[in-house]
Amino acid sequence: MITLRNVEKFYEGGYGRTYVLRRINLEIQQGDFVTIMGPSGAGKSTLLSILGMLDGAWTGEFEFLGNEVHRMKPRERVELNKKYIGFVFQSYHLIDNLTVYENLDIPLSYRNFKSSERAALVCDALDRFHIVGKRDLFPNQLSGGQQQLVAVARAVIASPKLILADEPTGNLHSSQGKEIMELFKKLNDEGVTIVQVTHSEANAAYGNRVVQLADGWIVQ
Amino acid sequence: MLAARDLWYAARGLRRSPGFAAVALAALALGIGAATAIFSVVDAVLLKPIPFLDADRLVVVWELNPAVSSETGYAAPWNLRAWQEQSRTLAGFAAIHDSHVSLIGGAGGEPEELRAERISASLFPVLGVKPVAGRPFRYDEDQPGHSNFALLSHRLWMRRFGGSQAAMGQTVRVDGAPYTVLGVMPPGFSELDSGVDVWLPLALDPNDARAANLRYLEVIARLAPGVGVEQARREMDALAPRLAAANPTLDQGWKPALVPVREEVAGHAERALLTLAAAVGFLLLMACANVANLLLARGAVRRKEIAVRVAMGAGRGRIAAQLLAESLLLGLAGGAVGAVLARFGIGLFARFGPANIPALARASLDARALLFSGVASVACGALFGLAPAMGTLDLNLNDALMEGGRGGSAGRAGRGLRNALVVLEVALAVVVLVGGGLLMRSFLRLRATDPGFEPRGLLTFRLPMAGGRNAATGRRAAFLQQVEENIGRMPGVRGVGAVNSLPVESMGVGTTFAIAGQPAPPPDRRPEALMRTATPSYFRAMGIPLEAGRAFAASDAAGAPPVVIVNRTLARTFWGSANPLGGRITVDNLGGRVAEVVGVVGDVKPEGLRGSDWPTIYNPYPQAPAPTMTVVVRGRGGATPPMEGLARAVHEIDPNQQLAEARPMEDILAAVVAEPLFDAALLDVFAGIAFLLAAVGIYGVISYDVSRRTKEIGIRAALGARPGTLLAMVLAQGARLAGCGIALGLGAALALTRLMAGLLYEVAPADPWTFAAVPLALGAVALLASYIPARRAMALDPMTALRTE
Repeated sequence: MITLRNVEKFYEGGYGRTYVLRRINLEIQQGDFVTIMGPSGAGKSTLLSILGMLDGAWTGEFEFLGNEVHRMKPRERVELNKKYIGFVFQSYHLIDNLTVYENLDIPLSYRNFKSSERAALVCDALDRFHIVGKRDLFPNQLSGGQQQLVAVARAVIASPKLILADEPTGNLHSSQGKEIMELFKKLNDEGVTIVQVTHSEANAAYGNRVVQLADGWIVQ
Repeated sequence: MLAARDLWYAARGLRRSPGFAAVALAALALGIGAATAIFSVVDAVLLKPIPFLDADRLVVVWELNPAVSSETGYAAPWNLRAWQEQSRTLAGFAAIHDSHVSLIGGAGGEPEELRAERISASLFPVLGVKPVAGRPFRYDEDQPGHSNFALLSHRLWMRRFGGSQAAMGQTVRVDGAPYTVLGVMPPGFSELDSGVDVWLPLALDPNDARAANLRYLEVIARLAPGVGVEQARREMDALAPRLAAANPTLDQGWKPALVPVREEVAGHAERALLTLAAAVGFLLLMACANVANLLLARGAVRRKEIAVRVAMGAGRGRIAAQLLAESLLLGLAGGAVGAVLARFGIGLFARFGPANIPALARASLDARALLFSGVASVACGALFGLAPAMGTLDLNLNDALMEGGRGGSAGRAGRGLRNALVVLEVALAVVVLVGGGLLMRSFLRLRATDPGFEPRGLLTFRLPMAGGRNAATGRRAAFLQQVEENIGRMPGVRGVGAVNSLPVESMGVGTTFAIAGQPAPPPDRRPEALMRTATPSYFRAMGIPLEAGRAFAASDAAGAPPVVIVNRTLARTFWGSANPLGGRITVDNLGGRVAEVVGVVGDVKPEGLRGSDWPTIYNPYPQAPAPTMTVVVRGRGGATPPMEGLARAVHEIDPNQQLAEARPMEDILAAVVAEPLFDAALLDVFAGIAFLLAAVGIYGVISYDVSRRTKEIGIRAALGARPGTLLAMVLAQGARLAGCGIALGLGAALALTRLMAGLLYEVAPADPWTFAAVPLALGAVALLASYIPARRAMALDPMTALRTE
C-alpha cells in the first residue's frame, strides 16, 4: 500500500542542512497496524505528516496505492488524502465552534457527498460510536475521551483505507486510552490500515509491527 | 465557490466571538456609513445629470475684464445681441435677470415678496424644459409693452393656488401691474439659482441704448452640434475685439468667459466634496486595515482549525473561500449598519448643510447609494479578508498540528503584516486629522474675521416698495424716513437705518467711476466700485465707523448737490495720504453724475468673509432711491428687537406695505460661513473616527502581542525584570509603530494638503500648528492605547505566565 524509498526531510539553515528524516525506506501493506516509536525529535510526527500528504517538502520516492506521490502536484495529493486517509491527533483537534454533528460532517463536506448521504453517514457514525446524545454539543462540553471518540469517528466517517494516528491516547487517562485503542483494533480487523505514533508500549502491542526512529533514521 | 454552509458557519463563528464581531462591525459600519453618505452627496451634486436636456452641452456666458478683476460678471444686452448674431459655435442663447417682485394673487390676497427671474422666451427651449401645467412664454410674449405674463414655481402654485388648473389664465398683480399666469414649472426646477418662485418675460428693448450697455444679465447658451467648449471659447474670444471696436465704451478690455453649467452650479463645492470623499476613502481603508488586523490575529489563533480542515481534506481554495465568506459576511453586515448610519447622516446634511449647494437637498439613500454601499461592503470584505486568506497558502500544517494545545502563532511574517497595517492606519489617520485640523483652523479664522460692522443685536428686513403706494420715486424717501422715525421711537431700539444691499450677502450693484482732477484712465481701465444707497443713520445703526467727514444728512435731498461717502479702501487707493473730503467722483452708473465726497467710512465685507475689501461708493437715499431697501434695526443690550413690533411700526404708516426676509444679522453671517463650517465639521467628525480607529488598531496589535508574549514576559519577570522595564518594553513597541505611522502620515499630509489650499482661509496648507498638534495628539493616544496592555504585562505573575505553556 505504501512504499517509501530514500525519503528525506531537512531544513536549510545558516550552518547547512538540518535533517529531520534520513533515507527512510519503508513498506506498509494494506491491513497492517504499524506503530512508529522513538524519542522526542526523532521525526515520528513528520513521517506521519508525509504519509498523510500534509507535508510536501521532502525528497525521495513515495508510492501510495500505486500512485507516485513524489511526482504529484499538491492538488493531486490533497485528492489522495481526501479519498483514502483519515487522521486522529493527540489533541483531538475538533473544531471548537462546530457541534459534534458538524465536526463529523466536515470531512464529508469536503468530499462532495450529497447532503442526504452526509446526514445518513453522520447519523450512522453517531450511532456506531454511541455519541448520539452528544450530537449538538460543542467540543468544550465534552470530556477528553469523548472528544477523542468524536475525533476517531470523524477520521473513519469517510471510510478511509488508512488511518494515521498521532499519539491518539496521549491526553487520555488509561481507561479512555484503552477504549480508543480497542476501537483502532476493531477498525484494523475490519480491514483499515493503521499507522500510529506513540510512546506507549501498551498501545504498540495492539499493532502487528513497530518501526523505531532515532534522529531521523529508522533504527529498527 | 462560497457555499451557504460557509456563510452559516461564518455567522456562527462571529456569534461565538461577540467582542471581535462588535469591534469589526463598528469599524466597518463607520467606514462604509461615512463613505455611503458622502457618496450620496457627491452623486447628487457632482455626478447625477442636471435635469436639463443634454446638460453637458450648456454653458453660462459671463463677461470678464482681466485688467480690472479676475472675477467674472454679468453680460450686457448689447453683447448678447452681438453674440446671437455672430456666433456659429453657440446655437441658442437665453438671458436671465434676478429680481424680487411683490405678488398678489391666489389664496389670501396678501401681497408677498417673492424671488423672481425675468427670462428671455428662449430660456426653456434652450434648457429643454417644459412647464408641468400650462405653457411657456411665446416669443411674442417677450416684447416690451407685451410681456405681462407669468410662470409660477410648483411650490408657489401649490401654496397659493392649491395646485388648481384654474390658475392658468388667472390674473395676478406683480409689482402692482396685472400679469396673466401661463403655466407652472416642474417641482424643484431651478437653473443657476434656487428659491425662485416667479418667472416673467425679460422683454429686452433693443431701442433702450442705456440698458443695452449695462451688464446685468446671466446668459445661458447651448453648444452647436459637434462643437466642444474649447472651440466655442476660441470663437467667442475671437469675437471680443470686433465687439470692442464696435462699442469701445462698453467692451474695451472685456471678453466673454464660458463656464459649463455643471461647473457653474456645483463647481464651488467640488473641491470640498472631493476632499471629503478622499477623507472617507481613507477612513474606509483604515476600517479595512483594522478589520484585517483583527482577522489576522484571529487567524493566528485559528491556524490549528485551518490545519485540521486541510487534514480532513479541504483544499486551500476551499479554506480561503471559507475565510472570505467570514469577511464578506462581516463586510455585508457592516454595510447594512453603515447604510442606516448613512441615512441618518444624509438627513443631517439636508438639515444642516449649506443652502448654497442646492443639489444637497437631492442627496438620498437611493438605489445608487445602496448599490455603492453594497459594492463597498463586498470590496471591503474581499480586501480585508484577503490577507488572512492568503496566509493559509503558506501555512505549515505540520507545525500547526504539532503545537499541541499551545494555540499557534502567525509567525514573523504575520506579525510584520499586522504592524504594517497599523502603521498604515496611523499614517492615514494623520492625513485625515491634519486635513480636519486645517479646515477647522481655517473656519475659526474666517469666523473671527471682522466683517466691518457689529452684527450682534441687529435685525434686518426687506422693504419692497415697487408696485405699492410707495412705488413712486418721490414718495419712497419720505416713506422710508417715516419708517425709520417710527421704529427709532420704539423702546428697545438703539438705532435704525436702511441700505439697498446688505454687507456679506452679495456684491450687488457696481459702477465704473473717475476721480475729478486725476488723469482719466482709458475706458477699459476705468476703475470699478460697488455702489450702495443708504439712509443717514445706516452707518451708526450698523456700527460702521465714520472715519472722516460726515454721515448723510436730511439736507442731502433729491434736488440738493450730489454727495457720496466712500469707504476706506477707495479713499486710500485713489487719494493715498491726501484728504478725500471735498474730492469729486464721476459715477458712471448714475448717468455720469459728479458728486462730492463728504465722508469716509470703514470697509465692510461685501460678499462672504473671504477676500479683499472692495472700493465702495455710498449714495444718499433721496439721490438714488432704490425700489427695495433693507432696514437694519439695532436693539439695546445686544438683543434683537421683536419683528412684530417693527411690523406694527411700518403698518402704522402704510398697512399694505410688505415686510420680507426678517433675519437677525448673526443668522446671515452664520449662513455665509455655513459651507466652510459644514466642510470643517464633517472632516472633523471623520478625523474623530480616524482617531478612534487608529487607537483601536494600536490597542489591538499591542494587546494581541502581549498575550502572545506572556511566556516571554513571565521569563523576563522571573529573571528579575522590574514592572517598569516591562511597561517600557511594551510602550516602546506602541511608540515605534505610532512613530513610523506619524512620520509616513506627515509626509503624505504635506503632499496632499496642498490640494486643499483653495479651501483654506488665512491658514497655510503646511500650517505648523496643525502639523505639530496632530502628531502630539496621536502619539499620546498611541501611548495610551499601548498602556492598557502594558499594565496587563506588568501585572503578570511570572509563575502563572510560565504555566501557560
